[in-house]
Amino acid sequence: MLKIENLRCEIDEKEVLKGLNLTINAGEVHAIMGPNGSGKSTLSKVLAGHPDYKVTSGTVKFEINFEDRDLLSMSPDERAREGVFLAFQYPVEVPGVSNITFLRAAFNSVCRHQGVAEMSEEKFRTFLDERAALVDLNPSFLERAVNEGFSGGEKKRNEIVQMAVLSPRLAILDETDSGLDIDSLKVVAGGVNKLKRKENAILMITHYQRLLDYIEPDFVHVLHNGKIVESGDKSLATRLEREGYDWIVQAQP
Amino acid sequence: MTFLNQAKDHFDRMSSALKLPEQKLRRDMWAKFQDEGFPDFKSERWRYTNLRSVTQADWKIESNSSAAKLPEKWANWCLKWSKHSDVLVCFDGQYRPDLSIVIEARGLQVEAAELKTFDFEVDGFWGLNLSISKSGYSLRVPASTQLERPVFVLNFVSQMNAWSSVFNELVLEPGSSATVFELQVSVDGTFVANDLTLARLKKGAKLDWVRVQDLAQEGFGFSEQVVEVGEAAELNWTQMQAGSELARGSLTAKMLGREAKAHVNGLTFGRSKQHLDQRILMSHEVGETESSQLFKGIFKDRSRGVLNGKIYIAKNAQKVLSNQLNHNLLLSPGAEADTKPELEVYADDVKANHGASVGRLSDEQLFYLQSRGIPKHLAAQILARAFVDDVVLKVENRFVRQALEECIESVLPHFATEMELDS
Repeated sequence: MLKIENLRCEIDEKEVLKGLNLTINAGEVHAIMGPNGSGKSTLSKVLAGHPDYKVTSGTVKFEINFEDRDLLSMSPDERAREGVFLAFQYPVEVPGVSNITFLRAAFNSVCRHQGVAEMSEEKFRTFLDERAALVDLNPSFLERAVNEGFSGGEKKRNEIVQMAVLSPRLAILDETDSGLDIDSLKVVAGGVNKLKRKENAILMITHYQRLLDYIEPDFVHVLHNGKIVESGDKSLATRLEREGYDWIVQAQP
Repeated sequence: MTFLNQAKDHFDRMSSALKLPEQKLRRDMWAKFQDEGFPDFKSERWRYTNLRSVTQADWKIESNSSAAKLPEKWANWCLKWSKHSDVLVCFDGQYRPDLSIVIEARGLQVEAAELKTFDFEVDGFWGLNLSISKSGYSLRVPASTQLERPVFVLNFVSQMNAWSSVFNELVLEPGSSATVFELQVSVDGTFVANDLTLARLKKGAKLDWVRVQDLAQEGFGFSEQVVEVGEAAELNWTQMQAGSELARGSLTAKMLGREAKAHVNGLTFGRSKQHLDQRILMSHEVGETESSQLFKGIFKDRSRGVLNGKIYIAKNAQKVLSNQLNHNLLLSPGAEADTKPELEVYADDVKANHGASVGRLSDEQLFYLQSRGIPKHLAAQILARAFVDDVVLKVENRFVRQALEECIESVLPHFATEMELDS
């Protein structure tokens, strides 16, 4: 579904990704771990199309209707309409725009793109209430301005509600566990698990093994200095938790 | 015949048919114009708006249009809002009972305005306009009457290349309240539309007044409101300016009795080469009075917005609270927003402050909305709409708020187009 080859990218003229390779197939859950500054968040921003990140070489292919498309040539909104979703590490506050207005605009944009009729306001409301229930988000949050005055945990739940509304084919969760207490983490992870389908893939970016106890990955990758330097199954995460990153860092030339 | 010759001709014919005191009043106004002529940039009041392009063109004084009908679009607008409000129609300034949908039994009294008294200082420009002005609406709400339904006023300008002047009047008797939504629209083309409205809020009266100027982009609109706010009376005034190549609004609120309040808010949407100028004078003539101003502007292309907000606090007018805020969003490098706050304070125990800012759309917010599939131009429209939301929310009546929202929705697509942003 997603094929990243030799991806190099920079921000503010500093190279952050230095030849990254990664392939993700439908139905798979991947986790990317790595020390601070290794390029984890950069990868998520580049895949979502953030304008500040400049790709200098490499390709990212995303399969749409059984055809490989060049993801990097698509605008951020086009990527989202084709099923790429980024759950932000720091969700953005948008004062003056209610959650429901925001979600409806997003949902309708996807509907229009796919040639499906837009949902009536009333129907959308019901649909949205169901989605909010997946992560125990109080429906009153839907009337409030997007993320404004939300606690860290509420913001992360709100990201998962958005994911549930858009049902992406590739969901990238950028440190969705950061700032969550254990109860919130369980709820958020539970929401993500309910959205797992065999047609969809998940890419988790995290510092800690903790999240992986709740959303079980099929593959774990270690990102170091802009490259994936080690890949394995879930046991790799367990080893990292026990031994830290030093043994991998030291093995690098 | 030049415009001024036509105006003279029109004035002579009109005033000779009038009786005192209206005849004298109009003659005084005309004399004022003769003495002073059109104001230029040397006049403090007109410093930011150059009238030359208006006064040097050849306008015709419009002929009578007392039988003309509204275009279907606006006739339907009247019909739609008549379900929730009384609807008044002014056609080229003239109040037209035949096009209006008013049920007077509810307490509202409407007639054509008569220029009988006018005790405000005017300059040459308004001297000319008042001397030749038509009768607009005159609304009166009797004492202790709370109008349940809002009053919608449609001002339609139908004639191209014409100069029109209109005088309106609003009187709220003691203890009464009303909500008025006024929409000014026109045919496509150029013209000069002038309107002056006098409002009197007597003791304890409350007026919520929302005005939308959405004239053709080639038009010229000059608008002046003078409001007397009596003891414990309250004015909530909200304006949206979106039309005209050059528009100039002026609001004066005179707080004449203790506990008088004036809250004024504005939205300005400027694009292409529009010049949109708003003057505000909050005149605290007695103590224990309160005023606030919240103005928001969105400007793109080479448009320019001017806000000249003055707070005047008279000697001995103690315990006055007054503040002014002006926030602007610039969407193009060539757009400009100028704020000129003025404080003229002669009392010592008062609180008066002001603040202003100029910014652009947040890239992080745009990206966040885009990352959810919303095309960039729609994302920009959503954010622009959010920027003005606090002004919209100040409008209490839900039908009036909805009518204002519709006006905003119709203007916003010009501010973030698919062609400009999604390429």
